[in-house]
Amino acid sequence: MYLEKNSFHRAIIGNFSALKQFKCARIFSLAATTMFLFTFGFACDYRADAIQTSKVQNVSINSAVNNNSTAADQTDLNTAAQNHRAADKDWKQFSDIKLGISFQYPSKLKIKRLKNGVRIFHELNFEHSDPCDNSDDVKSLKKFADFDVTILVSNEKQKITAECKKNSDLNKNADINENPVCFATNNLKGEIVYATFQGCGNLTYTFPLSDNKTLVVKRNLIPLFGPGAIPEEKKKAESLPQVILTEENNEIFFKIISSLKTD
Amino acid sequence: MAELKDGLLVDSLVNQNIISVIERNVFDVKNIQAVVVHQTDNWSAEQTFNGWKSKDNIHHVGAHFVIDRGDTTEYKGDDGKIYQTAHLTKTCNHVGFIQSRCFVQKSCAIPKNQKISAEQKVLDYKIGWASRAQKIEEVKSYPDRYPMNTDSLGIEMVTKSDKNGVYPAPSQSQMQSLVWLLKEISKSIPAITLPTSANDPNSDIYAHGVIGRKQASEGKSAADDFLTVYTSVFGLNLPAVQPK
Repeated sequence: MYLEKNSFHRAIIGNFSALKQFKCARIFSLAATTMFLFTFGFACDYRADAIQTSKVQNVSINSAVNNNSTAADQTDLNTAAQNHRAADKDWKQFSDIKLGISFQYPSKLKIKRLKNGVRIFHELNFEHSDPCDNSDDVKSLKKFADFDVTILVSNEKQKITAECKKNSDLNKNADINENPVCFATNNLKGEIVYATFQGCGNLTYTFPLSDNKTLVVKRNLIPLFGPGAIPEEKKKAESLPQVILTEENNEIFFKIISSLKTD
Repeated sequence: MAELKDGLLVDSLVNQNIISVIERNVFDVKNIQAVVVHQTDNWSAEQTFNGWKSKDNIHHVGAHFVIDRGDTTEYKGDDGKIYQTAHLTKTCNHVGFIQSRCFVQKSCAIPKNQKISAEQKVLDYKIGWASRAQKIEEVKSYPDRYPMNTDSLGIEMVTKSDKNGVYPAPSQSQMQSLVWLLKEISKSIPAITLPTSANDPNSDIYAHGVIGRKQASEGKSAADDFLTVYTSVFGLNLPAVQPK
Protein backbone atom coordinates (compact mmCIF):
# COMPACT_ATOMS: atom_id res chain seq x y z
CA MET A 1 0.00 0.00 0.00
CA TYR A 2 1.44 3.33 -0.99
CA LEU A 3 1.93 6.07 1.51
CA GLU A 4 -0.77 8.70 1.50
CA LYS A 5 0.19 12.24 0.58
CA ASN A 6 0.04 13.50 4.15
CA SER A 7 2.50 10.82 5.20
CA PHE A 8 5.20 11.99 2.82
CA HIS A 9 6.88 13.94 5.56
CA ARG A 10 7.05 10.88 7.79
CA ALA A 11 8.50 8.80 4.94
CA ILE A 12 11.32 11.29 4.44
CA ILE A 13 12.27 11.16 8.08
CA GLY A 14 11.79 7.40 8.35
CA ASN A 15 13.99 6.63 5.41
CA PHE A 16 16.58 9.32 4.95
CA SER A 17 18.24 7.46 2.09
CA ALA A 18 15.33 8.48 -0.12
CA LEU A 19 16.76 11.95 -0.14
CA LYS A 20 19.58 10.69 -2.35
CA GLN A 21 17.06 10.19 -5.09
CA PHE A 22 16.34 13.89 -5.32
CA LYS A 23 18.22 15.51 -8.14
CA CYS A 24 17.86 18.83 -6.39
CA ALA A 25 18.92 17.46 -3.02
CA ARG A 26 22.25 19.30 -3.28
CA ILE A 27 20.53 22.61 -2.84
CA PHE A 28 19.18 21.57 0.50
CA SER A 29 21.60 21.96 3.35
CA LEU A 30 21.54 19.51 6.19
CA ALA A 31 20.27 22.31 8.34
CA ALA A 32 17.08 22.62 6.29
CA THR A 33 14.05 21.69 8.29
CA THR A 34 11.81 18.79 7.48
CA MET A 35 8.98 21.23 7.04
CA PHE A 36 10.97 22.98 4.33
CA LEU A 37 11.32 19.67 2.50
CA PHE A 38 7.65 18.99 2.89
CA THR A 39 6.73 22.39 1.48
CA PHE A 40 9.05 22.43 -1.51
CA GLY A 41 9.86 18.76 -2.03
CA PHE A 42 7.02 18.18 -4.46
CA ALA A 43 8.42 20.81 -6.80
CA CYS A 44 11.64 18.88 -7.24
CA ASP A 45 12.33 16.55 -10.08
CA TYR A 46 12.48 13.21 -8.34
CA ARG A 47 12.20 9.59 -9.26
CA ALA A 48 8.70 8.52 -8.39
CA ASP A 49 9.48 4.87 -8.22
CA ALA A 50 12.21 5.40 -5.64
CA ILE A 51 9.85 7.42 -3.51
CA GLN A 52 7.20 4.76 -3.82
CA THR A 53 9.63 2.16 -2.60
CA SER A 54 10.61 4.19 0.42
CA LYS A 55 6.93 4.63 1.14
CA VAL A 56 6.33 0.92 0.87
CA GLN A 57 9.11 0.06 3.25
CA ASN A 58 7.85 2.61 5.73
CA VAL A 59 4.28 1.36 5.62
CA SER A 60 5.31 -2.25 5.99
CA ILE A 61 7.27 -1.50 9.11
CA ASN A 62 4.58 0.70 10.62
CA SER A 63 1.92 -1.87 9.85
CA ALA A 64 3.91 -4.48 11.69
CA VAL A 65 4.06 -2.19 14.69
CA ASN A 66 0.33 -1.55 14.50
CA ASN A 67 -0.34 -5.27 14.46
CA ASN A 68 0.80 -5.53 18.09
CA SER A 69 4.30 -6.58 17.17
CA THR A 70 6.99 -6.06 19.74
CA ALA A 71 9.83 -3.56 19.67
CA ALA A 72 12.14 -6.48 18.92
CA ASP A 73 10.07 -7.32 15.86
CA GLN A 74 10.36 -3.76 14.63
CA THR A 75 14.13 -3.86 15.11
CA ASP A 76 14.26 -7.10 13.14
CA LEU A 77 12.36 -5.53 10.28
CA ASN A 78 14.58 -2.48 10.24
CA THR A 79 17.70 -4.62 10.39
CA ALA A 80 16.43 -6.82 7.59
CA ALA A 81 15.80 -3.79 5.43
CA GLN A 82 19.25 -2.39 6.15
CA ASN A 83 20.88 -5.74 5.42
CA HIS A 84 19.03 -5.94 2.14
CA ARG A 85 20.25 -2.49 1.12
CA ALA A 86 23.78 -3.33 2.13
CA ALA A 87 23.74 -6.65 0.28
CA ASP A 88 22.41 -5.35 -2.98
CA LYS A 89 22.12 -1.59 -3.14
CA ASP A 90 20.80 -1.66 -6.71
CA TRP A 91 17.77 -3.71 -5.71
CA LYS A 92 14.76 -2.54 -3.78
CA GLN A 93 11.96 -4.12 -1.85
CA PHE A 94 8.33 -3.71 -2.88
CA SER A 95 5.61 -4.62 -0.42
CA ASP A 96 1.87 -4.14 -0.63
CA ILE A 97 -0.09 -5.21 2.40
CA LYS A 98 -3.46 -4.80 0.69
CA LEU A 99 -2.48 -7.09 -2.18
CA GLY A 100 -0.49 -9.29 0.17
CA ILE A 101 2.61 -9.48 -1.98
CA SER A 102 6.24 -8.49 -1.68
CA PHE A 103 9.21 -8.87 -3.99
CA GLN A 104 12.57 -7.38 -4.82
CA TYR A 105 13.34 -5.57 -8.03
CA PRO A 106 16.28 -3.64 -9.54
CA SER A 107 16.14 0.10 -8.90
CA LYS A 108 16.40 0.85 -12.63
CA LEU A 109 12.94 -0.63 -13.23
CA LYS A 110 9.80 1.44 -12.81
CA ILE A 111 6.80 0.42 -10.79
CA LYS A 112 3.24 1.27 -11.76
CA ARG A 113 0.36 0.54 -9.43
CA LEU A 114 -2.62 -1.18 -11.08
CA LYS A 115 -6.09 -1.90 -9.74
CA ASN A 116 -5.28 -5.45 -8.66
CA GLY A 117 -1.56 -5.54 -8.98
CA VAL A 118 1.62 -3.88 -10.12
CA ARG A 119 3.50 -3.45 -13.38
CA ILE A 120 7.29 -3.63 -13.31
CA PHE A 121 8.86 -2.28 -16.46
CA HIS A 122 11.73 -0.48 -18.16
CA GLU A 123 11.33 1.75 -21.20
CA LEU A 124 13.67 3.58 -23.53
CA ASN A 125 12.96 6.26 -26.08
CA PHE A 126 13.57 4.58 -29.41
CA GLU A 127 11.40 5.05 -32.47
CA HIS A 128 10.94 1.80 -34.35
CA SER A 129 8.45 -0.17 -36.44
CA ASP A 130 6.08 -2.29 -34.38
CA PRO A 131 7.36 -5.88 -34.84
CA CYS A 132 3.91 -7.21 -33.87
CA ASP A 133 2.17 -5.37 -36.68
CA ASN A 134 1.94 -7.42 -39.89
CA SER A 135 -0.64 -5.20 -41.54
CA ASP A 136 0.17 -3.37 -44.80
CA ASP A 137 0.54 -0.12 -42.88
CA VAL A 138 2.93 -0.97 -40.04
CA LYS A 139 2.78 1.59 -37.23
CA SER A 140 5.84 3.01 -35.58
CA LEU A 141 6.35 3.13 -31.82
CA LYS A 142 8.17 5.94 -30.00
CA LYS A 143 9.14 3.88 -26.98
CA PHE A 144 10.59 0.48 -26.46
CA ALA A 145 9.93 -1.61 -23.34
CA ASP A 146 12.83 -3.99 -22.77
CA PHE A 147 11.33 -5.38 -19.57
CA ASP A 148 7.61 -5.67 -18.90
CA VAL A 149 6.08 -7.84 -16.22
CA THR A 150 2.72 -7.50 -14.48
CA ILE A 151 1.86 -9.15 -11.18
CA LEU A 152 -1.87 -9.41 -10.48
CA VAL A 153 -3.79 -10.78 -7.52
CA SER A 154 -7.06 -12.34 -8.65
CA ASN A 155 -9.93 -13.16 -6.33
CA GLU A 156 -10.83 -16.15 -8.44
CA LYS A 157 -9.75 -19.72 -8.01
CA GLN A 158 -7.75 -20.85 -11.01
CA LYS A 159 -6.82 -24.46 -11.44
CA ILE A 160 -3.48 -25.81 -12.53
CA THR A 161 -2.68 -29.33 -13.67
CA ALA A 162 -2.04 -32.10 -11.15
CA GLU A 163 1.47 -32.41 -12.53
CA CYS A 164 2.29 -28.81 -11.66
CA LYS A 165 0.70 -29.15 -8.20
CA LYS A 166 2.84 -32.18 -7.45
CA ASN A 167 6.24 -31.00 -8.57
CA SER A 168 7.64 -28.53 -6.11
CA ASP A 169 11.03 -27.82 -7.56
CA LEU A 170 10.41 -28.28 -11.25
CA ASN A 171 12.00 -25.80 -13.63
CA LYS A 172 13.05 -23.51 -10.84
CA ASN A 173 15.46 -21.66 -13.08
CA ALA A 174 14.21 -22.87 -16.40
CA ASP A 175 15.09 -20.81 -19.40
CA ILE A 176 12.19 -19.30 -21.27
CA ASN A 177 13.37 -21.17 -24.37
CA GLU A 178 13.01 -24.56 -22.70
CA ASN A 179 9.23 -24.44 -22.81
CA PRO A 180 8.41 -25.49 -19.25
CA VAL A 181 4.76 -26.10 -18.41
CA CYS A 182 5.16 -26.17 -14.63
CA PHE A 183 7.06 -23.58 -12.69
CA ALA A 184 8.06 -23.32 -9.04
CA THR A 185 10.07 -21.11 -6.77
CA ASN A 186 10.84 -21.64 -3.09
CA ASN A 187 7.55 -19.96 -2.28
CA LEU A 188 5.22 -20.66 -5.17
CA LYS A 189 4.03 -23.49 -7.38
CA GLY A 190 2.29 -22.88 -10.66
CA GLU A 191 1.76 -23.34 -14.34
CA ILE A 192 2.73 -21.40 -17.46
CA VAL A 193 0.43 -20.66 -20.39
CA TYR A 194 2.04 -19.43 -23.60
CA ALA A 195 0.27 -16.95 -25.86
CA THR A 196 3.10 -16.21 -28.25
CA PHE A 197 3.84 -15.83 -31.95
CA GLN A 198 6.96 -14.58 -33.73
CA GLY A 199 8.43 -12.93 -30.65
CA CYS A 200 5.16 -11.24 -29.66
CA GLY A 201 2.69 -12.02 -26.91
CA ASN A 202 3.23 -13.17 -23.37
CA LEU A 203 3.67 -15.96 -20.88
CA THR A 204 1.19 -16.15 -18.00
CA TYR A 205 2.35 -17.80 -14.79
CA THR A 206 -0.59 -18.87 -12.62
CA PHE A 207 0.02 -19.58 -8.94
CA PRO A 208 -3.11 -20.66 -7.00
CA LEU A 209 -2.79 -19.39 -3.44
CA SER A 210 -6.09 -20.41 -1.88
CA ASP A 211 -9.69 -21.23 -2.78
CA ASN A 212 -10.37 -17.62 -3.65
CA LYS A 213 -6.99 -16.14 -4.42
CA THR A 214 -4.64 -16.62 -7.37
CA LEU A 215 -1.42 -14.87 -8.20
CA VAL A 216 -1.01 -14.20 -11.92
CA VAL A 217 2.31 -13.08 -13.35
CA LYS A 218 2.16 -11.88 -16.95
CA ARG A 219 5.50 -11.65 -18.68
CA ASN A 220 5.50 -9.82 -21.99
CA LEU A 221 7.97 -10.92 -24.63
CA ILE A 222 10.26 -8.21 -26.01
CA PRO A 223 9.26 -8.11 -29.70
CA LEU A 224 12.13 -5.89 -30.77
CA PHE A 225 14.53 -8.67 -29.74
CA GLY A 226 12.43 -11.38 -31.39
CA PRO A 227 12.56 -12.79 -34.91
CA GLY A 228 9.70 -10.54 -36.03
CA ALA A 229 11.75 -7.35 -35.67
CA ILE A 230 13.41 -5.57 -38.56
CA PRO A 231 17.04 -6.75 -38.20
CA GLU A 232 18.51 -3.25 -38.60
CA GLU A 233 16.24 -1.85 -35.87
CA LYS A 234 16.94 -4.78 -33.58
CA LYS A 235 20.68 -4.17 -33.95
CA LYS A 236 20.29 -0.48 -33.10
CA ALA A 237 18.13 -1.27 -30.08
CA GLU A 238 20.68 -3.75 -28.75
CA SER A 239 23.32 -1.04 -28.66
CA LEU A 240 21.19 1.55 -26.81
CA PRO A 241 22.70 2.79 -23.54
CA GLN A 242 20.89 1.33 -20.49
CA VAL A 243 19.19 -1.34 -22.61
CA ILE A 244 18.23 -4.59 -20.90
CA LEU A 245 19.20 -7.42 -23.23
CA THR A 246 17.49 -10.80 -23.31
CA GLU A 247 19.91 -12.56 -20.99
CA GLU A 248 19.67 -9.83 -18.36
CA ASN A 249 15.90 -9.75 -18.79
CA ASN A 250 15.80 -13.48 -17.94
CA GLU A 251 18.05 -13.02 -14.92
CA ILE A 252 16.00 -10.12 -13.56
CA PHE A 253 12.73 -11.93 -14.11
CA PHE A 254 13.78 -15.05 -12.28
CA LYS A 255 15.29 -13.04 -9.45
CA ILE A 256 12.09 -11.04 -9.03
CA ILE A 257 9.86 -14.08 -9.18
CA SER A 258 12.11 -16.02 -6.80
CA SER A 259 11.80 -13.19 -4.27
CA LEU A 260 8.03 -12.99 -4.69
CA LYS A 261 6.24 -13.73 -1.43
CA THR A 262 2.57 -13.74 -0.53
CA ASP A 263 0.82 -13.35 2.81
CA MET B 1 -8.91 -34.31 -53.19
CA ALA B 2 -9.70 -31.36 -50.94
CA GLU B 3 -12.61 -29.17 -51.92
CA LEU B 4 -12.78 -25.39 -51.52
CA LYS B 5 -16.21 -24.57 -50.12
CA ASP B 6 -17.20 -21.13 -48.81
CA GLY B 7 -13.60 -20.32 -48.08
CA LEU B 8 -12.92 -23.56 -46.24
CA LEU B 9 -10.58 -26.22 -47.57
CA VAL B 10 -12.61 -29.33 -46.88
CA ASP B 11 -10.67 -32.55 -46.36
CA SER B 12 -10.17 -35.03 -43.54
CA LEU B 13 -6.57 -33.83 -43.24
CA VAL B 14 -7.61 -30.21 -42.61
CA ASN B 15 -8.85 -29.41 -39.11
CA GLN B 16 -11.09 -26.37 -39.06
CA ASN B 17 -10.24 -23.99 -36.23
CA ILE B 18 -11.37 -20.58 -37.51
CA ILE B 19 -10.21 -17.68 -35.34
CA SER B 20 -12.47 -14.82 -36.39
CA VAL B 21 -10.36 -12.04 -34.79
CA ILE B 22 -7.54 -12.64 -37.28
CA GLU B 23 -9.83 -12.45 -40.32
CA ARG B 24 -9.62 -9.00 -41.88
CA ASN B 25 -11.02 -7.79 -45.21
CA VAL B 26 -13.15 -9.68 -47.68
CA PHE B 27 -10.92 -11.52 -50.09
CA ASP B 28 -11.97 -12.56 -53.56
CA VAL B 29 -10.34 -15.93 -54.10
CA LYS B 30 -9.53 -14.77 -57.63
CA ASN B 31 -7.17 -12.20 -56.10
CA ILE B 32 -5.11 -14.81 -54.29
CA GLN B 33 -1.88 -15.09 -56.21
CA ALA B 34 0.75 -16.33 -53.81
CA VAL B 35 1.45 -18.20 -50.58
CA VAL B 36 3.85 -16.99 -47.88
CA VAL B 37 5.39 -19.60 -45.58
CA HIS B 38 6.04 -18.50 -41.99
CA GLN B 39 7.46 -19.94 -38.79
CA THR B 40 5.79 -19.25 -35.45
CA ASP B 41 8.65 -19.02 -32.93
CA ASN B 42 6.81 -21.15 -30.38
CA TRP B 43 6.28 -24.77 -29.38
CA SER B 44 2.79 -25.69 -30.51
CA ALA B 45 -0.19 -24.63 -32.60
CA GLU B 46 -2.07 -24.08 -29.34
CA GLN B 47 0.45 -21.43 -28.25
CA THR B 48 -0.05 -19.72 -31.62
CA PHE B 49 -3.85 -19.79 -31.23
CA ASN B 50 -3.53 -18.37 -27.69
CA GLY B 51 -1.35 -15.56 -29.01
CA TRP B 52 -3.66 -14.69 -31.88
CA LYS B 53 -6.75 -14.77 -29.66
CA SER B 54 -5.10 -12.67 -26.96
CA LYS B 55 -6.40 -9.13 -26.46
CA ASP B 56 -2.75 -8.09 -26.72
CA ASN B 57 -2.83 -9.04 -30.43
CA ILE B 58 -3.98 -5.51 -31.23
CA HIS B 59 -2.92 -5.70 -34.88
CA HIS B 60 -4.92 -8.91 -35.44
CA VAL B 61 -1.90 -10.81 -36.72
CA GLY B 62 -2.71 -14.27 -38.05
CA ALA B 63 -2.51 -16.61 -41.03
CA HIS B 64 -4.82 -18.94 -42.92
CA PHE B 65 -3.21 -22.23 -41.92
CA VAL B 66 -1.03 -23.58 -39.11
CA ILE B 67 0.95 -26.81 -39.32
CA ASP B 68 1.67 -28.21 -35.86
CA ARG B 69 4.85 -29.85 -34.61
CA GLY B 70 5.54 -32.63 -32.11
CA ASP B 71 8.66 -34.46 -33.25
CA THR B 72 10.69 -33.78 -30.08
CA THR B 73 9.79 -33.59 -26.39
CA GLU B 74 9.96 -29.78 -26.42
CA TYR B 75 7.29 -29.49 -29.08
CA LYS B 76 3.87 -30.06 -27.58
CA GLY B 77 1.77 -30.37 -30.72
CA ASP B 78 0.54 -33.09 -33.04
CA ASP B 79 3.31 -33.40 -35.61
CA GLY B 80 2.21 -32.36 -39.09
CA LYS B 81 -1.43 -31.71 -38.17
CA ILE B 82 -2.97 -29.03 -40.41
CA TYR B 83 -5.34 -26.41 -39.02
CA GLN B 84 -7.25 -23.90 -41.11
CA THR B 85 -7.55 -20.76 -38.98
CA ALA B 86 -9.05 -18.26 -41.44
CA HIS B 87 -11.42 -18.50 -44.39
CA LEU B 88 -9.72 -18.11 -47.75
CA THR B 89 -12.32 -15.46 -48.45
CA LYS B 90 -10.73 -13.17 -45.84
CA THR B 91 -7.32 -11.54 -45.79
CA CYS B 92 -4.99 -11.98 -42.83
CA ASN B 93 -2.26 -9.73 -41.47
CA HIS B 94 0.68 -12.07 -41.95
CA VAL B 95 3.18 -10.25 -44.17
CA GLY B 96 3.79 -6.69 -42.91
CA PHE B 97 6.55 -4.68 -44.53
CA ILE B 98 7.98 -6.23 -47.68
CA GLN B 99 11.38 -5.80 -49.25
CA SER B 100 11.77 -4.26 -52.65
CA ARG B 101 11.73 -7.12 -55.14
CA CYS B 102 13.50 -5.17 -57.86
CA PHE B 103 16.17 -4.03 -55.38
CA VAL B 104 16.79 -7.61 -54.23
CA GLN B 105 16.89 -8.80 -57.84
CA LYS B 106 18.94 -5.78 -58.95
CA SER B 107 16.40 -4.82 -61.58
CA CYS B 108 15.03 -1.48 -60.34
CA ALA B 109 14.52 1.20 -62.95
CA ILE B 110 16.85 4.15 -62.47
CA PRO B 111 15.30 7.41 -63.71
CA LYS B 112 17.29 9.54 -66.11
CA ASN B 113 19.69 12.00 -64.47
CA GLN B 114 19.72 9.88 -61.28
CA LYS B 115 22.42 7.52 -60.15
CA ILE B 116 20.26 5.35 -57.93
CA SER B 117 16.73 4.03 -57.97
CA ALA B 118 13.93 5.27 -55.72
CA GLU B 119 14.08 1.92 -53.88
CA GLN B 120 17.78 2.30 -53.17
CA LYS B 121 17.31 5.88 -52.01
CA VAL B 122 15.27 4.97 -48.95
CA LEU B 123 17.57 2.27 -47.66
CA ASP B 124 19.52 4.61 -45.41
CA TYR B 125 18.05 3.01 -42.28
CA LYS B 126 17.00 6.37 -40.87
CA ILE B 127 13.75 6.52 -38.95
CA GLY B 128 10.83 5.56 -41.18
CA TRP B 129 12.91 4.08 -44.00
CA ALA B 130 10.99 0.79 -43.99
CA SER B 131 7.70 2.69 -44.14
CA ARG B 132 8.92 4.83 -47.06
CA ALA B 133 10.14 1.74 -48.92
CA GLN B 134 6.73 0.11 -48.33
CA LYS B 135 4.96 3.06 -49.93
CA ILE B 136 7.04 2.62 -53.08
CA GLU B 137 6.25 -1.09 -53.20
CA GLU B 138 2.52 -0.99 -52.50
CA VAL B 139 1.69 0.93 -55.68
CA LYS B 140 3.26 -1.84 -57.76
CA SER B 141 1.36 -4.97 -58.75
CA TYR B 142 2.29 -8.54 -57.98
CA PRO B 143 4.58 -10.05 -59.28
CA ASP B 144 6.50 -6.80 -59.85
CA ARG B 145 6.60 -6.63 -56.07
CA TYR B 146 6.57 -9.37 -53.45
CA PRO B 147 3.15 -10.55 -52.25
CA MET B 148 1.30 -8.54 -49.61
CA ASN B 149 -1.68 -9.33 -47.37
CA THR B 150 -4.02 -8.23 -50.14
CA ASP B 151 -2.98 -11.00 -52.52
CA SER B 152 -1.55 -13.87 -50.53
CA LEU B 153 -2.37 -16.71 -48.15
CA GLY B 154 -0.23 -17.37 -45.09
CA ILE B 155 0.85 -20.76 -43.76
CA GLU B 156 2.51 -20.95 -40.35
CA MET B 157 4.86 -23.80 -39.44
CA VAL B 158 5.25 -24.30 -35.69
CA THR B 159 8.97 -23.93 -35.00
CA LYS B 160 10.99 -22.31 -32.22
CA SER B 161 13.91 -20.12 -33.21
CA ASP B 162 17.24 -20.54 -31.44
CA LYS B 163 18.77 -18.00 -29.07
CA ASN B 164 20.05 -15.99 -32.03
CA GLY B 165 16.57 -15.88 -33.54
CA VAL B 166 17.48 -18.31 -36.35
CA TYR B 167 14.79 -20.82 -37.28
CA PRO B 168 15.60 -24.52 -37.65
CA ALA B 169 14.03 -26.57 -40.43
CA PRO B 170 10.50 -27.88 -39.89
CA SER B 171 10.00 -31.58 -39.08
CA GLN B 172 9.62 -34.16 -41.82
CA SER B 173 5.90 -34.57 -41.05
CA GLN B 174 5.39 -30.81 -41.22
CA MET B 175 7.11 -30.68 -44.59
CA GLN B 176 4.95 -33.48 -45.95
CA SER B 177 1.85 -31.67 -44.73
CA LEU B 178 3.05 -28.40 -46.27
CA VAL B 179 3.64 -30.05 -49.62
CA TRP B 180 0.20 -31.71 -49.56
CA LEU B 181 -1.47 -28.45 -48.52
CA LEU B 182 0.25 -26.39 -51.22
CA LYS B 183 -0.64 -28.99 -53.83
CA GLU B 184 -4.32 -28.85 -52.79
CA ILE B 185 -4.37 -25.05 -52.64
CA SER B 186 -2.85 -24.77 -56.11
CA LYS B 187 -5.51 -27.12 -57.45
CA SER B 188 -8.29 -24.98 -55.98
CA ILE B 189 -6.65 -21.66 -56.84
CA PRO B 190 -5.00 -22.10 -60.25
CA ALA B 191 -3.30 -18.68 -60.09
CA ILE B 192 -0.88 -20.12 -57.56
CA THR B 193 2.02 -21.77 -59.35
CA LEU B 194 4.20 -24.30 -57.56
CA PRO B 195 7.93 -24.31 -58.32
CA THR B 196 9.22 -26.85 -60.78
CA SER B 197 12.88 -26.11 -60.25
CA ALA B 198 15.08 -24.52 -57.64
CA ASN B 199 14.72 -20.71 -57.60
CA ASP B 200 11.94 -21.00 -60.17
CA PRO B 201 11.09 -17.37 -61.03
CA ASN B 202 7.50 -18.39 -61.77
CA SER B 203 6.91 -19.90 -58.36
CA ASP B 204 4.32 -18.20 -56.15
CA ILE B 205 5.58 -19.80 -52.94
CA TYR B 206 7.65 -17.44 -50.75
CA ALA B 207 9.46 -17.56 -47.43
CA HIS B 208 8.49 -14.69 -45.14
CA GLY B 209 12.11 -14.15 -44.11
CA VAL B 210 13.11 -13.70 -47.75
CA ILE B 211 10.43 -11.25 -48.84
CA GLY B 212 9.64 -9.42 -45.58
CA ARG B 213 11.73 -7.42 -43.17
CA LYS B 214 11.98 -10.21 -40.62
CA GLN B 215 14.50 -12.79 -39.48
CA ALA B 216 15.97 -13.96 -42.80
CA SER B 217 15.62 -17.67 -42.02
CA GLU B 218 11.85 -17.55 -41.44
CA GLY B 219 10.22 -20.06 -43.75
CA LYS B 220 13.33 -20.32 -45.88
CA SER B 221 14.23 -23.96 -45.34
CA ALA B 222 10.59 -24.96 -45.83
CA ALA B 223 10.46 -23.11 -49.15
CA ASP B 224 13.89 -24.39 -50.17
CA ASP B 225 13.07 -28.01 -49.32
CA PHE B 226 9.68 -27.92 -50.96
CA LEU B 227 10.78 -29.54 -54.20
CA THR B 228 12.74 -32.33 -52.55
CA VAL B 229 9.82 -33.29 -50.36
CA TYR B 230 7.31 -32.84 -53.17
CA THR B 231 9.29 -35.25 -55.32
CA SER B 232 9.70 -37.81 -52.55
CA VAL B 233 6.07 -37.67 -51.42
CA PHE B 234 4.38 -37.64 -54.79
CA GLY B 235 7.08 -39.41 -56.79
CA LEU B 236 6.97 -36.81 -59.50
CA ASN B 237 9.75 -36.44 -61.95
CA LEU B 238 10.58 -32.83 -61.25
CA PRO B 239 13.99 -31.30 -61.97
CA ALA B 240 16.59 -31.89 -59.28
CA VAL B 241 17.02 -29.24 -56.61
CA GLN B 242 20.13 -27.15 -56.99
CA PRO B 243 22.68 -27.40 -54.16
CA LYS B 244 22.01 -24.74 -51.50
